[in-house]
Amino acid sequence: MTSSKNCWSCDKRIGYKDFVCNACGVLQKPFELNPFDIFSIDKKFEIDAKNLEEKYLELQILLHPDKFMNASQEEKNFSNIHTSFVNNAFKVLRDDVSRIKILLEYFGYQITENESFQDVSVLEEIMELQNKSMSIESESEKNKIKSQLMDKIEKEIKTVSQLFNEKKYKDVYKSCIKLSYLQKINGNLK
Amino acid sequence: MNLVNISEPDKKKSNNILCLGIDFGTTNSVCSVKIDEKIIYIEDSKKKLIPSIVLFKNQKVYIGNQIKNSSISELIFSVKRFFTENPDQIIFDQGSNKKTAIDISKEIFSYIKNLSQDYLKQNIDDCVLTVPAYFDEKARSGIMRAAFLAGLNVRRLINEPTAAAFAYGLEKKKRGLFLVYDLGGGTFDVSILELKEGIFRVLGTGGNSKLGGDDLDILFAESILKKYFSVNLNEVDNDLKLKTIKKCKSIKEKLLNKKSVSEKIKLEEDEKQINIESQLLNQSIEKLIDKTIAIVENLLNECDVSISSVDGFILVGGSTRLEIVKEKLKNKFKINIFSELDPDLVVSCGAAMHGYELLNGSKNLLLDVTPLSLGIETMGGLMEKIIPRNSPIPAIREQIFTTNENGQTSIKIKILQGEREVTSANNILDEFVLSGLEPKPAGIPRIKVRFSLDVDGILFVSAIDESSGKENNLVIKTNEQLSIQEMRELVSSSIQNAKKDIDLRLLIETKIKATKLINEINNVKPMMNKLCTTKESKEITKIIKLMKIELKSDNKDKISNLIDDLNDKTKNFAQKIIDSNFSNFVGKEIDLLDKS
Ligand SMILES: [Zn+2]
Repeated sequence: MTSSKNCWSCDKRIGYKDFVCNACGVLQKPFELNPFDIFSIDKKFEIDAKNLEEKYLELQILLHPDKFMNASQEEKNFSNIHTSFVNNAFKVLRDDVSRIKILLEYFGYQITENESFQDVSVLEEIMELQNKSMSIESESEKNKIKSQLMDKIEKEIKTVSQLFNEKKYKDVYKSCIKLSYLQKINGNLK
Repeated sequence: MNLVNISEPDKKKSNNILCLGIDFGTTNSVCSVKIDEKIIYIEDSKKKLIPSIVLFKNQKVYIGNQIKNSSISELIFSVKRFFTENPDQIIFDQGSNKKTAIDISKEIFSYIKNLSQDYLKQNIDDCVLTVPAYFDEKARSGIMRAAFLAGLNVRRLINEPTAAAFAYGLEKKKRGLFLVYDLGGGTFDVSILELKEGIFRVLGTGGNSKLGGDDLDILFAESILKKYFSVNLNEVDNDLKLKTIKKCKSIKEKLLNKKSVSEKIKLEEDEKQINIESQLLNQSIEKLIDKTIAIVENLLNECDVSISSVDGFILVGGSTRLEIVKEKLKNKFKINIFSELDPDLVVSCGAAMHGYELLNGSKNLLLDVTPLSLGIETMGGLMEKIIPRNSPIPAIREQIFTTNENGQTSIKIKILQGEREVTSANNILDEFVLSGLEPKPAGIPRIKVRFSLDVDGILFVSAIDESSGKENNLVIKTNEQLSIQEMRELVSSSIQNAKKDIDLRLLIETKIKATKLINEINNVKPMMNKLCTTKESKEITKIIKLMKIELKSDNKDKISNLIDDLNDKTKNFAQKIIDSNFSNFVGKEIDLLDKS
């Protein structure tokens, strides 16, 4: 991977990940970047949400189209694309499931979407929760299931963290699938 | 005109670029501008509220407070309501005088622009325009088109609750988490915003674009007629119905600071002096207020925000003056309620502040979201969401699609907006045909469809056939309406180039007409080559070329002549299109695509 590029406007040599040229101050062309790299944070599962949000807002201040109202048409277009990338990366990183998938990809684990999910005991567990959540009759029952779900989600997140440390990516992926089901049920409960 | 009670601005003193903040409302519109650290409201007959009412009479147009002593049935009001249906639909039809919601709104925008210019004693084109947060794509771009047609250069479209929060953040130095509750004349919005030093960020938005003060008036009128006349509002004839609703609206306003009022109400021959208590008002509108509260609760839930972490409600819109609204919110949510800034003016004020900062630079940033999910129809009539609601804007998402039949050379794409799974339950924004695909076995082509939602909340869709490697080989066939991008370029270039004495509005209209015509012809180009002689095609192409050159000038007459020429030269061809079967062109192989 190249570690530098030429500024499209003044042709000075600048860093590959620079959004703005430090010589002429012009916004650079959009470029593909891993979401973790966009915010310059470590590529690991545990994430400091507050730090991520601060970096997100810093980038908005740097890149948002409102800051380029009087700039050239090129910079306006670039700003629109950069900001969209940042918005998307922020969303991807905040969500546990999509963050896991990006990390797995980064660590070279091939996700095959069609791989059938074979862990019967997990499937049964999820089905049971699903059925329970569909036949809720009272607010107290709903709260009970919600807290059950939250416990399970928390536990699964700990497992994922552990498995990442042990580099057991296949198991991470299994946990990830379970987690995505749990979160889906949780989302539908809202 | 109406510049009496405010000292005249001294042009020399201010070096800043001026930008109007326009709140185009269902009932009233408000326009303000920030000059030298002060917000100044543009007045219409000494009033800050400009009624969004239009009257066409004796070949003339009257607007706002210009209209006096007119019969209510002649007036066009609440035109903003039509934008959520179809802004291009004709809603005023008087012989040869046919007007769409956009045409009528254009008149209001022109009026506001003229009032501003009279007051400022200078030309002003730049504006920040506000729209209800819950407005969909069609309504947003419709309002923008109307403003462009009036010669206004819309620099930014912002959401009404967001504008209000911006004003509170700057003027009242509010910091923390706030719920903006905006009950306007025709729409209800609620947004959750985080106000931090330098950054005002919307976390989520909910609402109902067909619920507002107008509906409260109708409910109140229904109750009064039922209680005192034993009559159903829907059974009285239209003129009387409108009069009664108007009367009840004024009673509602009187009840804002009184427990009861004594009023004479006349229904045909039946005239009664009745004592109306605020309790009756409250009873009749309670249901609607409950509806808004349910929307607030849903939004909190969806955004995972607990009410205990919210620092307060910010009230916006005339209808929030009603005591019952404040009472209900207080009882339900038990948090502070803020309404220090005039709920009728605060949206325009926030827009003017934002416009000033956009054009003159600032430390404050406004981050907003899209209120409704965007997607496309896939096999089986289901909606595939591409940009989910409450995504921060701008947003770009791409999705790869493929064909489902061997040799398929075109694909139909239906763009949808809404939250339901089934296509028919959502709003169909547009439908276009991608043609020119190389025939290949089913499932092989890779068509990348790109949704780009800009910072105004306006959507652009493009498509690339990845498998052919060529970028622009696909023809996107959509209607001949100009895109917001095209219109914006046209308006801002006209403003920049036009000589002072020119009628900008007419010039813009002519240019739009010409561009539309070019688009129309481009859309049927493959057919043109088939149905026209080479000589005809050549002539048409030549005129289009000339037209494109002339579009960069401000010679309205020359453009008009070219339009006539082009219409004349394509007359023959237009007839041929009608004669030939349209399906020959589109091809029967068109089918809904399935996701790859
Ligand atoms: Zn440079």
